[in-house]
Amino acid sequence: MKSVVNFFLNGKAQEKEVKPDATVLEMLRNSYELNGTKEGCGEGDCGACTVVIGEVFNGKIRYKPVAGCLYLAAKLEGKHLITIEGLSSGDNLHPIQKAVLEAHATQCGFCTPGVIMSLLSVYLEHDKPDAETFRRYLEGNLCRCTGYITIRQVPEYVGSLNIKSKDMRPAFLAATEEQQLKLASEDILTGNGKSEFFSPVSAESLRGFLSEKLKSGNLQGMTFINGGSDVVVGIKKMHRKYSLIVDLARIESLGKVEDSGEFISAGGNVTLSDLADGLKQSLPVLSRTILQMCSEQIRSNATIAGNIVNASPVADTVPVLMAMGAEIVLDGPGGTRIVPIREFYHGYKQTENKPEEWIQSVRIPKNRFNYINFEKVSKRREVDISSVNSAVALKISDGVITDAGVAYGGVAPFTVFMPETAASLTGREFCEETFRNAGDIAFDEARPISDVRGSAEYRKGLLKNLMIRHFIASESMLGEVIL
Amino acid sequence: MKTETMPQKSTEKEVKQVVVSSDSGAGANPVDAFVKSGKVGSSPSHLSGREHVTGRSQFIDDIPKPRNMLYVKVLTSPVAHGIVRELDCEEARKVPGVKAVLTYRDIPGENQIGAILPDETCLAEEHVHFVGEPVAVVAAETAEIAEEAMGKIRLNIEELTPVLTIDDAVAKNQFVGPIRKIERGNVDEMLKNSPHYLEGKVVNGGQEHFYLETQSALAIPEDSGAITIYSSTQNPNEIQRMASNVLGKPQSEVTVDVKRIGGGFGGKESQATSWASIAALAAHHTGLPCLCKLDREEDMISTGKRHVFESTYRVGFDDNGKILAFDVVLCSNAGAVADASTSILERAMLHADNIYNIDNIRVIGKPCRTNLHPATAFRGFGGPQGILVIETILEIIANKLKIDPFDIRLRNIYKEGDKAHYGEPVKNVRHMETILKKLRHDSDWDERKRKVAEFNAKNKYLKKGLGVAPVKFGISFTAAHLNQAGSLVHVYFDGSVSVSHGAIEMGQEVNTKIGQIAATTLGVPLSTVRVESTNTKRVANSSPTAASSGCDLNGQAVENAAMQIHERLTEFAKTLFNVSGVRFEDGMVYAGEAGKVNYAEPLISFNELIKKAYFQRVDLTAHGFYASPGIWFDREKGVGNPFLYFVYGAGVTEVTVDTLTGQTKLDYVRILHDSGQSLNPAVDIGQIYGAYIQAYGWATTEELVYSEGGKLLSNSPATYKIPTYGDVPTEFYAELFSGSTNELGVKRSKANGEPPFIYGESVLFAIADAIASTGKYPVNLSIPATPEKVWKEFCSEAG
Repeated sequence: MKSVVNFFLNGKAQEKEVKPDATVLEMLRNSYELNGTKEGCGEGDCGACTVVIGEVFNGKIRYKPVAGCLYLAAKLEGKHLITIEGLSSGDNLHPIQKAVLEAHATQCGFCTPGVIMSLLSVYLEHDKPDAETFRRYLEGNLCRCTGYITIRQVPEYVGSLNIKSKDMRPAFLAATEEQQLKLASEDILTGNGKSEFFSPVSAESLRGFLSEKLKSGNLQGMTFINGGSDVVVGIKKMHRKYSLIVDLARIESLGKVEDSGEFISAGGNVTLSDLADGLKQSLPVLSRTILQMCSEQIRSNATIAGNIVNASPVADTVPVLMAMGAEIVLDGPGGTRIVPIREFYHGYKQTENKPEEWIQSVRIPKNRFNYINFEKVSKRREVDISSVNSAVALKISDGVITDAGVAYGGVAPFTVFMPETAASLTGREFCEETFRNAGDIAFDEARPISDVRGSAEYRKGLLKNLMIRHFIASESMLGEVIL
Repeated sequence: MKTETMPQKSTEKEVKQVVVSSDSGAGANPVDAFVKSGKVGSSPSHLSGREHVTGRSQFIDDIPKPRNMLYVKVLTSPVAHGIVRELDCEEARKVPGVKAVLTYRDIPGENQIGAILPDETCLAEEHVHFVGEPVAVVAAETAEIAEEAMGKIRLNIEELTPVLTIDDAVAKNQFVGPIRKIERGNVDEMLKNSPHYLEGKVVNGGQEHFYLETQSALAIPEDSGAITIYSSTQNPNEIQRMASNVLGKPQSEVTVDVKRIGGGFGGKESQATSWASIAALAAHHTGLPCLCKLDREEDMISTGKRHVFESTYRVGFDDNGKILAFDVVLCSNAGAVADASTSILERAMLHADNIYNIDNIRVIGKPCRTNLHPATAFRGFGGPQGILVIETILEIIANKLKIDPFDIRLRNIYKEGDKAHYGEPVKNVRHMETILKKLRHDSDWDERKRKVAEFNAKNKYLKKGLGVAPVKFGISFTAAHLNQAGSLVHVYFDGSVSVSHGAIEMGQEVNTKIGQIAATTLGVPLSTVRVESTNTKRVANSSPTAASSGCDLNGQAVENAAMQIHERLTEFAKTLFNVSGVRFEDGMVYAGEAGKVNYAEPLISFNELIKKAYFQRVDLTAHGFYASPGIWFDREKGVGNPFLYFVYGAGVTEVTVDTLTGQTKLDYVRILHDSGQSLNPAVDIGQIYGAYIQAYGWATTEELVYSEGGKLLSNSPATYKIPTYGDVPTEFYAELFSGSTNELGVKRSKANGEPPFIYGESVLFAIADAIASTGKYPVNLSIPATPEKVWKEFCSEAG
């Protein structure tokens, strides 16, 4: 157990005591006077604070874009934090910087460092990135000047520079990677009694730590975090105070995605990004859902477990899990238990897990359904929170639906399983009429309210129409799918 | 005061007109010697580009913190309208680390920051008028302490019923300025006698600027009572004026300095004044440097936005769709204070005709006072709202009479020699017709229309639509006195050049363009020219960087100063070398006249000549000045010559709409735009891209949602959605119109910032077209055409 964080910053080793709730953005600007990383919104929605983090993954170092305003500095243990200042020295520009300049892809310049760091993470991880990859990595970088068009041209300018992909790597990476791979894992406890950050490397040590805490009192004011994309917004924007932040992200046993043939099991700290990549073949619907729900800067650290326990009524992964009848494996000082996700929510932001329980894994049955679809409607098509979302999971045999799961978000205080709508699909022919009818049932089965993301009337309409989209999505005529 | 332009070598006279397609990348921007040369008409890199891409560019919060700097937090009104019954700061003052807690009682000068009409307090007194209105100021050692102390201020407000809507304000006769009228012909008579008559209402929502750098100011006390303010503002002169007013100091004791700002779009034209004045007030009281930087939510709640307009119209037209009479009342929601609302409404009224000659026209403007945050300048400055009405009407008529959208516009278009409704001749409007016809051709409009109809016949739930939006945009501040600019140019002993002017660099690359102008005029490489921060000590009484005029006005002022130095050096060189003429180019001095220059053998380098000139005591500094000629406007009568010239152009948009959800997707955009002889084609194309996508956001996803009490609910990027990378279609083409020049613009160029915003209105018309394909012409569709609003149109029973 140690109280300092060891990490690399632009190639140089650092050892630092950090405040439990200090973010990377705050640390860079306040302690290092590295002001190239900008604050545009402070809640992970604009990308101006994008930094690249290098971390050990499957015995290698991989690099990912991260929203510096939501990433706690205490999470940096063993990581390599790369900022815009690390890309060039003096007048020698990195090829991406040159290309941005040549493409006229910078105007006011405020978003530019973030854009460049997102591009860097693409080039560090992809030899020949395609347009879809650039889109995936750049959707989280808001720019109000360029209309993105010149930014989209940057890869072609990079191409015209004829740079070998290894030369896209900052020179200091060779040395830091070697050192990173040698670092030993150790539990970290920082802060004082009023405010602590605990980052265990095993479930055993976490269980032990929490048991001790339970003995000496209660766990009020404690929160788990993984990516922290919800918790840190709470701390910074809603001024929530936590006496103890427990980071699950370094527990190795929570990091696996397994396919047992019967279940796909996603560990509690598997990032959304890894899940989207890992499930591309085995569960493409969830992969697509994840790629639609947020930016890469968030996906790179946020987890499906976080999406579940945050209990947002418009969480995007939850309808899919609910429709498919997934189960949540909870762990804690009292041992493990399994809860069906359909029974996990009790009210607005009320969940089944006890404060000291964390999600060990999510188990998704593989073979029960053979048609699964997710639909979401949001004001902006890309990287926006849903007004209404919905998933269906169906078993179709000989053109007849024999088993059905239906879930909707944004129509109740939490994501809801809709048994009547599901029942109305079961035993019916797989055709538009069936879904129209189910839409009518769904229309009556939920009572949405009005808020900033849509009126009750609109949500009612979507209850109905998303059922039709569930049908259309099955048709080969992809022309009928706008997204 | 127009100065002559330097004669140029024939190869450089041709200004390159680029066509850039969104996916053509490097190939479309030829990286040849001319492009790199930095001369006027070429496209050198952004002058601050190296700073931007390395993260070294300093915005306000990036300036190294001065010793003992304090963090300022502002307590703002939580209610839209009320009487302050209690404002007790005692507990807040006791928090350790707090250096000052200030209210309006602590203002040494006048509690007034309204620059056009004096109706805006710096800190609220007995009344509060909108949610987010500044009430009290805390300055403390850290932002956290300031935040904590702010929570200890006791503010009790007795709530009064707020006026939030235009209807309510009109009913209560609440306006921030006079109701104005522009009228020509006999509107009432003609409305009665027209073969067809229509009436209706056109509504548009507001828009948050969402500049990436939030409002920020750093005030540093100097000796002898002076103060320097570093502000993220488009208008340093106004801040100097208002901060000195608040502090009770002469303007000469207040310096405002701006290196660059992280986006403005109009949102920092007058809306930066408040925070700069507050920082200055805190610095004045504490004697310490004070930083006031809003976080995103504070910024979105407190600061001004684009005006909501609700405009009722009556129109008469003939069977061919020719408009015979047009009567419109433009009502803007100005919010709680006047800000620039009267000028914005004026520009809306002056653009109500757009490109159409309407003999009988009456435009009335009412700036409504409500209890919302002030509405303010935003790219287009009322132009988009004024143009939206007539363009919407033409769309409706075209649909009714089954006339093609291009045809109906061409049938109504101004001809050369026609006068606008306020009496100004619409000069060079012949280009508008050429542009429309070329765009129709280049966008394959007619074939595209056929394909869209085919798609719509085949697809049950997805519908496509097409739209076009043309623009005639008047260039000049309608407040004539603002059409002036100053500059200061030094040539140093080593030949390097320092340029100061009154415009603000905010991404529009005014500094790059002005650097090009200075380099071309002096005949030196762009790399030797440094464009300085904008500073009220170097250039006084500057106008805001607004109205697309930053480069037009300040570029001519710099050209004027550079020309003075150039003339002195020319005389000096002629005498020195005993030649009848000299030419300065790329840092070398050659003998000869235009067309007969001896390039083979330079006389001397520029740098060497400067050294000689210095020893001979030639003045190497010049102050330049420019005032636009012939501009006037009589507000009372509604007549005048308010604009120096017009910018023309048009844009076509194709969209796909999902009838089940109302979601829209951009498929295709093509724009043809008149930049005159472009100073920097890459910059101008970049402005077109940015303006269009910003307008696309306004037209579709950017929705300002308020609580019943008048508090902005969509107050963060989580709920207020500006366009993102994936919204931009692969097929996006912007081209500069090659047939235009402009004797009145700097180096024959045209202003470029605002006009392209109008093209985004074609998105709305394309969506309406998609809806109309189902046989239901939109009844209540308005900007922003959010998925919900579009969905409602498909649900409506109306045909």
